[in-house]
Amino acid sequence: MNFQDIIFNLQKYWSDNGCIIKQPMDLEKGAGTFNPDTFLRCLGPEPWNVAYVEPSRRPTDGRYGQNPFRTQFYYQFQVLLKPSPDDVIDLYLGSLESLGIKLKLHDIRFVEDDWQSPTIGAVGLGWEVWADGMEITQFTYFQQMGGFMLKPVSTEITYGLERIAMYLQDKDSFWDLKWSDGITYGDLHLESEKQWSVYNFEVASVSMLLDLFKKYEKEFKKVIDKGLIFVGCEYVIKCSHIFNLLDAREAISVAERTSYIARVRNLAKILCSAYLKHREEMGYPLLKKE
Amino acid sequence: MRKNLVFEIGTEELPPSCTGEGVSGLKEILENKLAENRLEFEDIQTYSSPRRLVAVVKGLSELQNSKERTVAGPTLKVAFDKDGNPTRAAEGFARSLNLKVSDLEEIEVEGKGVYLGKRIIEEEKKAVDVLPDILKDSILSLTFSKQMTWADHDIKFARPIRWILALYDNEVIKFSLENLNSANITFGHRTLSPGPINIKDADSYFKLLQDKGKVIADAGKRKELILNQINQLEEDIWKGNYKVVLDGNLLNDVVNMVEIPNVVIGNFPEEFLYIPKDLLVEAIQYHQKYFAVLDKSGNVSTKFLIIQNGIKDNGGIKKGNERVLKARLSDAAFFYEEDKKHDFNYWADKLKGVIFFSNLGSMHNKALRLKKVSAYIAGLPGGSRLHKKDDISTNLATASMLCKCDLVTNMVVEFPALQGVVGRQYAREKGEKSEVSDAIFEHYLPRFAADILPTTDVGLILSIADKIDTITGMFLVGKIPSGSEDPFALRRKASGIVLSILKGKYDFDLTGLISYNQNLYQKSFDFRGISDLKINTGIKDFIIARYRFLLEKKDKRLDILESILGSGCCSILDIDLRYKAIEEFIESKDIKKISYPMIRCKNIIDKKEFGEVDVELLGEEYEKRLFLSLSSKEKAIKDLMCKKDYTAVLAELYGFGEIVDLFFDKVLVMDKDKKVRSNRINLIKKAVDLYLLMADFSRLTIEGNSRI
Repeated sequence: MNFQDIIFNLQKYWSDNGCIIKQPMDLEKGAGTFNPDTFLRCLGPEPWNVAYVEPSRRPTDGRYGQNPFRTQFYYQFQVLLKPSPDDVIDLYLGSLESLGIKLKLHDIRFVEDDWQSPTIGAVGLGWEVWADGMEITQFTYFQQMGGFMLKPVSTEITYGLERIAMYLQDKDSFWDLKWSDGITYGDLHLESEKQWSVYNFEVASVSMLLDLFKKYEKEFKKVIDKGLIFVGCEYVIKCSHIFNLLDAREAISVAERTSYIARVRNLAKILCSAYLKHREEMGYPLLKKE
Repeated sequence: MRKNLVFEIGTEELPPSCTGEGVSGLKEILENKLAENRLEFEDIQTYSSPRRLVAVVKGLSELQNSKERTVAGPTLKVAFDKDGNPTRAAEGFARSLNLKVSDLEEIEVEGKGVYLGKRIIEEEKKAVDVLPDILKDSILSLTFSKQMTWADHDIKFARPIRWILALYDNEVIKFSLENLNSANITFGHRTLSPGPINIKDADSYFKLLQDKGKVIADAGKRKELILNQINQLEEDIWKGNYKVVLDGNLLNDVVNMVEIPNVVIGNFPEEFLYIPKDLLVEAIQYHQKYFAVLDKSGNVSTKFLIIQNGIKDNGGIKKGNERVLKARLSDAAFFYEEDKKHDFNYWADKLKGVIFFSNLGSMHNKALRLKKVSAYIAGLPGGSRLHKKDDISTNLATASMLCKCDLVTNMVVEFPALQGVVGRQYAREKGEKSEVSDAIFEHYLPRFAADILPTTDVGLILSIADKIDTITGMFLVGKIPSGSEDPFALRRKASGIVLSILKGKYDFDLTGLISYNQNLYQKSFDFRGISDLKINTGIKDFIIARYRFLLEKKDKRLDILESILGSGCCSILDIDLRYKAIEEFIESKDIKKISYPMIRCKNIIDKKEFGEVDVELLGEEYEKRLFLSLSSKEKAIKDLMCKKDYTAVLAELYGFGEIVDLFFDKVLVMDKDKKVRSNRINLIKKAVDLYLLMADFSRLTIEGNSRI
């Protein structure tokens, strides 16, 4: 199954199972969780079932294209189910079958992995899912977002598309994956992976990043004061990504890290609180549609 | 009649740590609730697999035990008027019990009088009627160190509960919890047996679960299966040429990660064998929970074991896991190579940015304190013997500055369990002396109860220093363990201090070391509103409590320790030496010959003021004898104390007892002459002080006395 077919399949499967299929957000971010379709929609009482591909960036994970499956850029397939369905694991296993994985022949395991993202005040309990030892999915019951306790609780299912493809295509490296007939993942991404690794670790201007962080943080406060929640959300995401870049440049000492994380978390908290208030003022429109 | 109950809480995959917590909690709760509800049972056994917590109650009574209780109302005087007619009070009371006054009886309450009341025999309810609440409550009261909620439910559990099986013999104990109803249905292996399984009765649960469900719910059996498979491999297939590294924690985790274990052998490319052994083994174990395999000469081989969840492998599982380990190892190799580009100066500098604890500065600050604290320990009496040997103090200083460096290496950031191990490895590679590199590893010891202890003086002293420093810091910021709360494992650290002191035979006063350490903190940081003395005593008592705990574990007499502490001694080594001497003495001799005379002395001198003994006033023979004996004994005992020859001290005190007894028998302390009397009391006070050099023997519990 080609890389692009995995996406088609998952979109079809989750659409058949009641999810709306959205498209990625046009902003650099560490994970699909940052997309407001998860970040904000998991808050409050309204039901929400969504699936989308999210191109993700983790600068410190760059390996100059040398590691077979650690890269600073990759694709996530993100599913958010709110409230978490009782048969959520069976639903998930069904999605693996839809990709042609024979469950009786492979060792599919749910291994404890309690997830948290301190920068956005998010806490969740769940697992990484192993297929014959390969971590192919992150499976999380969100407990908190922006420091707010969540009720109902959502399940977030995050597929690592490249890893699933390696597994399905029996390849040892991202770069050898077939994206489509005749085109490999490496054809599309290897050069940029090398260049971004160089940039993230060696070239990125620390003074510019530090300056941007301050400016984005300031801009956030300005827009949120004017009630522009979705604009504010983007500035939180930008701050978080700038922090990750600074981290890759080792420009932040371990002691300073804590205070940078606290600064982003503070923005996330303000944002989530504003969003909750906003939906309440709107009378929870999605609740009525149920 | 008695029947068996099986109670299964079906969940999504529980973390390995939660299954242990869950079953022990469940057992305790059930025992209490069944007892509270007067339901007798023979015994409760608990079982678990990743998707279930199971309790089996054997021989559970069908009926509650009867219970009689008495309800007392008004006194007879109040209940009846002069003519013997019931008053309104009596009638009101009867009504409250739904009875007539004529149904009531006289109840005598001892020491209080006679009341109008009723003996009520509680109805013996059937087990099946009480069990629903018991089982439901037991789920609700089960707590885990990490809990979660799911969907829109209120209940908290380690992972979502998906089914409940409750069978008393062949009868379902029916109750509901959130959206779940208890039933006689269980679920087996997720992929090998996906559908529901009907269980006929409690006794067929395990067999059906294994036969149809492909699940072994007994963790002990799963462990045995894994060990058997490993054994077979080592003996039959590898013919003794390879040996599996059986890490106990890893094995326990793995047992709780599969519902039915199956061992698969994998191989990884030789190119990774250059990674140092300790690092390589951890890289194999840490993320993927594989077992490393050593060859005959003890080197890591390219083989590794996968414990998977019961699937018959047709090659895919082996291949998949091999691919994963290869990538993990290439990551480990990447980190190792990255670390090679740096040296200890670089890492030591980075420690300035690593916070040791909030308000306690950085790891760099800690390293600087360790250098001073360890030098202080080495320079103390008992530690000073070390200076005669080579350059221990130089090694200590170096090791202090290097021991925390590996915290900022890529390897330890990736594999946290390797702290100390990576430091030792890199110190070797950078050409540090073996005393230094070994101490880097050893200063973390012991890491858990029954772990090994440091083997070298540098390691032992640095380990003591590191732990004292952490405990002192935590006490200064108020993070003092209480009850079962000990999030920073300070008790374990304190036990480590005690064991290392005893092993290295370091004789030093705890209070001195603690206040030295306290000063180091207080010079750099501000702790407002803290009483130095209270903290100091708190830490000293905290550490001595761990020594007491060691004695308790060995079922040793605690009164001996209390008597030694009564002397004010607060060197762990010294306390231990005295303890052993007294313990040995008690075995062969009559300790009362020491303790009774001391008690006689103490009884006289209670709450009085003292002065010097005036020799001129000593008139009677036996008080003169006591005085002379005191002077000579005091010198002898002090000399022996310096040599720590406590057996000889006890012998001296033993002999001294006779003289004290003779004094009391022959001399009247309470002389009419105030001066003489006061002088005799001063004399006795001196005798008490002599005993107290060694211990307060009056605190020994000896049959038939505490005061005579």
